[in-house]
Amino acid sequence: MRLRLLRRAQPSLVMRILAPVLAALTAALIAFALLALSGKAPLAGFYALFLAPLSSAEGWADVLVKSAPLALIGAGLVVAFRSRVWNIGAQGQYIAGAVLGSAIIVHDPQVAGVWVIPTMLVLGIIGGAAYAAIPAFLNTRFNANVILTSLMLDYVALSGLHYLTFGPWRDPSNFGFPGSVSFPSAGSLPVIWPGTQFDIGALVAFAAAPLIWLLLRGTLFGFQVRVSASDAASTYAGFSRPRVVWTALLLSGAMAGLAGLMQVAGPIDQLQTNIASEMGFAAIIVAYLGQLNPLGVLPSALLVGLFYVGANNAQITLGLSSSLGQLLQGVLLFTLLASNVLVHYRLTRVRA
Amino acid sequence: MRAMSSMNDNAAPQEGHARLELAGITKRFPGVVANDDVSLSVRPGEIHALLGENGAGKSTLMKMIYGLLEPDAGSLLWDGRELRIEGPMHARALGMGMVQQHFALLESLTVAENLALTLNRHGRWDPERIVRRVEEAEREYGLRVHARRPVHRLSVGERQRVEILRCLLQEEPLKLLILDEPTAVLTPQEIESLFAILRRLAAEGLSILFVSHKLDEVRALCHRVTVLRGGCVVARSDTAQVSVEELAALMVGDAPPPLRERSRPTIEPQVRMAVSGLNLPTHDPHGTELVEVGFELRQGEILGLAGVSGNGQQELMAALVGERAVAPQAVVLDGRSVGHLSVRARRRMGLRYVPEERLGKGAVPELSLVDNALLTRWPQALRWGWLRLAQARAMAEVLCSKHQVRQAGVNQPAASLSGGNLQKFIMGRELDQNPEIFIVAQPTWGVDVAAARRIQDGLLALRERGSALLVISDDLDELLLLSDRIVVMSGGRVSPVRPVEETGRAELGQWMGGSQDGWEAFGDAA
Repeated sequence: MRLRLLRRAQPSLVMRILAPVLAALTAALIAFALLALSGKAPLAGFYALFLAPLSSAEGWADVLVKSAPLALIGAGLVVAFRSRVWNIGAQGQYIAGAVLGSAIIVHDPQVAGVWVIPTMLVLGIIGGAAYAAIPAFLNTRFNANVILTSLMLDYVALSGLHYLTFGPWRDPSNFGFPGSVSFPSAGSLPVIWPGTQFDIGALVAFAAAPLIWLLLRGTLFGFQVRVSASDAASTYAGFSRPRVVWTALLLSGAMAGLAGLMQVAGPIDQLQTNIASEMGFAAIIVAYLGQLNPLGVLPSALLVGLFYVGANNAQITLGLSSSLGQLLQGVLLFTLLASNVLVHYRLTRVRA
Repeated sequence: MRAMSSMNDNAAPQEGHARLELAGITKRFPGVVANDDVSLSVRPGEIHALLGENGAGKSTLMKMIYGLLEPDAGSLLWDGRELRIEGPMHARALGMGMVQQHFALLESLTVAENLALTLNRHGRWDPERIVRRVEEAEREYGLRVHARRPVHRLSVGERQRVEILRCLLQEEPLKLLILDEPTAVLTPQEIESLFAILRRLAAEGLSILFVSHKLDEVRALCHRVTVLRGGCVVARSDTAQVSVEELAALMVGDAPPPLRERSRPTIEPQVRMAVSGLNLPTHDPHGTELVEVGFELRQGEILGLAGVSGNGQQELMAALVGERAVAPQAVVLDGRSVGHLSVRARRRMGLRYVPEERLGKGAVPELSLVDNALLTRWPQALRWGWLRLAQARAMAEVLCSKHQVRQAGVNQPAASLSGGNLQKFIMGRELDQNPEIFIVAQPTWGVDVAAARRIQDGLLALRERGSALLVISDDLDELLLLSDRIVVMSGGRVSPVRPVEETGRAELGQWMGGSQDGWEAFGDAA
């Protein structure tokens, strides 16, 4: 008796939904095995990682706050990836949005007025979109590979952020620590769940996914994205590929920029060196774990958010390394790729 | 059906043992039985035709003989011994050779180098030795091939001869040669020379399995014929004992409805599309450059563009429809220079087209039929930037029912349609828009006879309405049937345009083969 993969006549809808669940369970099992191998009590570790954050309301708030930017960036990346525009630069666009939006506060730390928050939001969007415009221009003008240009620009953005937070934008009254001034209340998003960091920004972030779903389903642009599956068919339909590349990059960049701004004007409350904490890369996993469906991004963002909070919790309570969260993300990506094979193939037993 | 055919078996005379014998071969794929209890025998020195329409199960059967697929049931006897063919390597070791429709040749290597790649498997790299063997083969079988020429400079007919040579020169002496639709890409003259070679090979004892759906060729070349329909054998016979009409009836089942009467359109035949001085360089090293292409397409006519595929037809289509920009005045639509305009702009002017590539261009395989119905019709479903999905769905449903597209629901992906149904879907999508100017490549490629008739009828109906049609096809017979005037494309240039009554297969075939006799004298005035 041997197992063999046979191609399905049609991709399976059931497996498309089940594959991420299967992947998450497998990843959890691998985490369990890793904990056991590293000599820690696996059950306690497992509890600290996955269950403890969900056993209290504050824990839930933490997970939601962590998930919000992932859901926002992830929804934007769904548009890009479905258009076959491989924007790996969400990290840089996130930083660009955060930096440009913070400029108002750094310029005048005492700023006040109701116009401040809206202006910061707009600047965040512009920052992310403008940064994404660079790979869009390089691709449509010189046919440069978006994966390479957008990825490299991530590191350029990070260096720029370091320069600003260590240099000209450093808060002089902060004992030489890097980072801008703390944001005044006029530049902070209002918290809507008292006692937690859950603010209006998180709500906006979660609302993005359904809007993107509507955009992809019902608009002409959504149709262009669907047809992008085939270049030849897009040409035949009379669509312009450069326009799709520009729109996809500007939109996903704008959403990443907005996410960045809403982090510095929200939970972080300051422009710091480590604001990004690999958020732009985690969002790629979120987009794929959601099967490139805007609505699927919501549960997958919650799961990856849980990994962040759980790893943090495990570090505090058990002294486990905080890189456990990233390790889990990596494992999850692999298990997802493996289980997605089952969307197009089915396992059958063959007699040797 | 099968009970009837088993009586025909007696008609075949028994002379010695069969080289290849299939008994009760069955092969199922999800949702279809591709071959159902198929039996077949081929004797030494026999040219045996396997006749059937597109989708009758011929290719599946060939693949099982050559070891590319494994049958679900049934047995295969080779020289009287029952065996299981493990794969193409095993099949070749037994003395089988197969020439597929799509050749497996490396374009940038010479003929000898290509042959050395597969023939010199165990020895050292020695194309020169191959050159000598190729010359011997020419003396022996009359197979003319330039051994030192790179493949990209060969005509399709020559490439096919290289593939046949590869089978003949293989280590194990060749006993059975399988040819899959070998004449599909050849000019009439090339077909004649291929048949001469095959007859000579058969006379020396080679068995040939000739897979085809062309009745005349089967009658002209083959000794015996097995007819497949819907995966079953419906007849076996000596070709001498059946007429072309009988074969057609066996192959198709019910006779297709006759084509509509051609009427003279009453409209003044004004020029709708004028092409002149059209030049287009190619980016693809194996593509074809367009040189000074010019012709006129008039209202109420079907202009046939004949030619062996790969002679610039794809490049011409790209330039005519707007996929590649050319000089503005090179393409004139209704008096307006449009050579620089986009696909979208030209479609708005009433020009619609059907590309040769169905899946991946004419339709997106992973998208639903609803989305695919919108592919060229989206402006109609658009309001304020939103697509009206209910309307799109209704559009797809009407399209499928009107053109008898068999499908399991319009939300199914286009990839789930069979080739013939997809073709009906795509042709229907464009025809129903009643395009003023319609350019279509290979309109009936891959569909059965009845569906082909409906599509041809649709084209003629469009012509009667006064539209201007340009039909690009490899199939000269179809063009002679449909066209008012005909033009040949060869090496990126076009011949003079000829009314169908004033030309014939001989002249067109010569032009398709690269001759330019009579091009200058005639001019474009016709």
